[in-house]
Amino acid sequence: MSEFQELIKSFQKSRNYVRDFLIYGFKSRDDFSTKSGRTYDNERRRIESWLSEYIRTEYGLQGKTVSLALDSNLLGTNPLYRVWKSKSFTDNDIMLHFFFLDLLKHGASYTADELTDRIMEEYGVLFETQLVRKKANEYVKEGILASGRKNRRLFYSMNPEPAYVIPGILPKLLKAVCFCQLAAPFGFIGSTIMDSQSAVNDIFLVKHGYYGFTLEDDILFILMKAIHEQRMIQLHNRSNKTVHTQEEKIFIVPLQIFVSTRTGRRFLCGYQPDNRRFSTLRLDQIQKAALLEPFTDYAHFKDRLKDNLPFCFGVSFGASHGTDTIRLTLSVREGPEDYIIRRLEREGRGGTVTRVEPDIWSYEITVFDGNELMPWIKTFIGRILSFESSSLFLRRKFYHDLKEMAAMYGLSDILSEETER
Amino acid sequence: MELFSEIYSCYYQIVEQILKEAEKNPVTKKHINQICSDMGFAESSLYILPKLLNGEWKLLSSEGDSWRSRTSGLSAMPFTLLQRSWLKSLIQDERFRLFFTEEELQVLEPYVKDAELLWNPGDFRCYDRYEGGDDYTDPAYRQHFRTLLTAIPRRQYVHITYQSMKGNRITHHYLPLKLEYSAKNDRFRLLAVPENERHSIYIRIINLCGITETRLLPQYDREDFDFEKVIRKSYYHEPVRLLIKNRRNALERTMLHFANYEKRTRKIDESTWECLIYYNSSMETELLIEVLSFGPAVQVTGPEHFLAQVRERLKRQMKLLSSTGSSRS
Repeated sequence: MSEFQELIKSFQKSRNYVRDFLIYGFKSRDDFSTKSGRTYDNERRRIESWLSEYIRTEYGLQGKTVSLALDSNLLGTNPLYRVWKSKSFTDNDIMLHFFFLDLLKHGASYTADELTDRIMEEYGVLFETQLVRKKANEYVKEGILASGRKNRRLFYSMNPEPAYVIPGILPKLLKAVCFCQLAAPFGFIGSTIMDSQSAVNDIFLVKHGYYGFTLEDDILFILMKAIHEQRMIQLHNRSNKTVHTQEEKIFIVPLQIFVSTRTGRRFLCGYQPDNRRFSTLRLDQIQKAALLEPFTDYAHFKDRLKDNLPFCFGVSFGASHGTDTIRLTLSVREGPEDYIIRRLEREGRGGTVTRVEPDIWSYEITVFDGNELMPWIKTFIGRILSFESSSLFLRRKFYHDLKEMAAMYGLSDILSEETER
Repeated sequence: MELFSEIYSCYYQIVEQILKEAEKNPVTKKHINQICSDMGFAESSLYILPKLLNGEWKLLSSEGDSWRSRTSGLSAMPFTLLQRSWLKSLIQDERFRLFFTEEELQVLEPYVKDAELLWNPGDFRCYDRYEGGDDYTDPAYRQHFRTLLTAIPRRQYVHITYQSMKGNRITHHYLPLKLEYSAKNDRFRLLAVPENERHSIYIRIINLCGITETRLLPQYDREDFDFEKVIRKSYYHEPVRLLIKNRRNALERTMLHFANYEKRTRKIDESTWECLIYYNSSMETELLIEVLSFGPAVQVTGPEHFLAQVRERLKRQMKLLSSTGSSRS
């Protein structure tokens, strides 16, 4: 059996385990049946090691369950960024890293041969020049080193550190980074800036922090590249909708990323040439993404998406080409309950808010998929006078759900009592 | 440009710290171990210590019972291309620009000029973000934001005048504690305690867009303030108890939806789960309507005062529908 390692080569395998521990937190060893028990044990031990202070272990009927307890109201950073800081490396990688930082200080510059000699002299380590050059070139690509020719010889030097280049604004920049690592895309990158500058966030918190999103950032990285280069991509998508998870290959032209600020979910919105439709896929279900050739009609479909967006309440383009119209009428005590009118206006995503008569307000919208409004509409329970829709299915669903809720809380009798009066 | 790279790894940071310490003075094994515990994962020292001390990584040389760094005055890492790409993308974000004057941004721009943009603002569509977020370009708003940004780390009291939710004008001296951002509302809120209630557990929440005046005061707070302890104290003793029936994919939807709360979930039977959610009074109404949004897929079973609110809203609803006859639709 190989020795246990905290560090990993590939992000993909651990991602799904971390996500399951964070999002669900009730799964036992037996629930992770797709992989061997030993794989589960290793992954669990690794996650316990990375995130030890947030791990909660419980024993119940299902056996031992491991979960991650994160309260976004209290955290100055996303603890899951630690998963990104677990990449394995070789002995040579780490030695060369620090030898470069040491030798190339104060504006020094060397060729690969000179660096190899200096490493031998200073630290007593013999490397092949080829290896030193390869690592130095990697660091040039990462923007750590710069390279330049002098008398046909290639010299490497260290790029200047921010304290020299932007000293006047660095303190402000670090404050901005402390905020953006929590609130902007690819926040993990911000946390690496904080690490390198020993910055700590003691100013900002996020109210609705959905930390799991960082686990999809490697996929998002490829999608952004595809969007900017207007390329088609091939995805491996894993759907959880059925009992047995299925993985399918999808060819899609990425156009935009849809983000839910209420659940943290992110979706790829793209055009699928195979079925000639726009569709959306959850980023956390995309297992792999590969860039393909540029898509010639990109601008055309981007424009068509813009035309469609006013009819997307959420992420659905509907099952058919039709639309659903929904009209909600609410009882609102004007004055003390004006916040309800403000809610309709702020949360209604372009729907029309109208004062029908004193204390009665309506909201109306036409969208591709009215089903997406149903959770939001239920947040107005207690003041709904009527729910009307062009869709019989939605009308039935709404009233059926209410009756079921009434029964669930032992309130069914109210309906009959009121009807008798 | 790699996202998942050893350059950013926790082990590199630990070793850098050890080398910096060992450049100043020889370090003991205990000291190295301590750095590993403070900065690393739970088992990092088991891997790092033998590598460093047995010479597989020739970065330290032994001096009796201690070790000295073979490096002398390591230079700090420059920002990588990936980090500069991230900053370049952020320059387009009004929230990021809040921190700087235009002149300061002109200093930053050349530093990130050669980096690629990781994203453009139009690449993302926050489809459920509420309308009417903060106006980050408003000069008065920017001024208040920066005053608070100065005061919070210094623990300096601030004279604040603001318009409350009910429309009242309130002026007070506050100790500002945190700036809280809500992506859903696209708003900043100030968490603060009034000067004369410094030891209260009730933290005031003030919308930044409602603030009309801020002025730094000469007083500073010298006592410890355990923010986490105060917030935890404000949580109700009893969490909300939910029964989740796995229909319409409700289990996954609820788990994702409530992922921002501290919660515990356990399986009751093959199709039912119990989820406990920890919260305080400032979250209560929001949590209540979030739970209602799941309809019959989620049932509240406690605590009694929360359950009573659910029942009350539903009761009112059923009466409204009965009186209008809509329930027979």
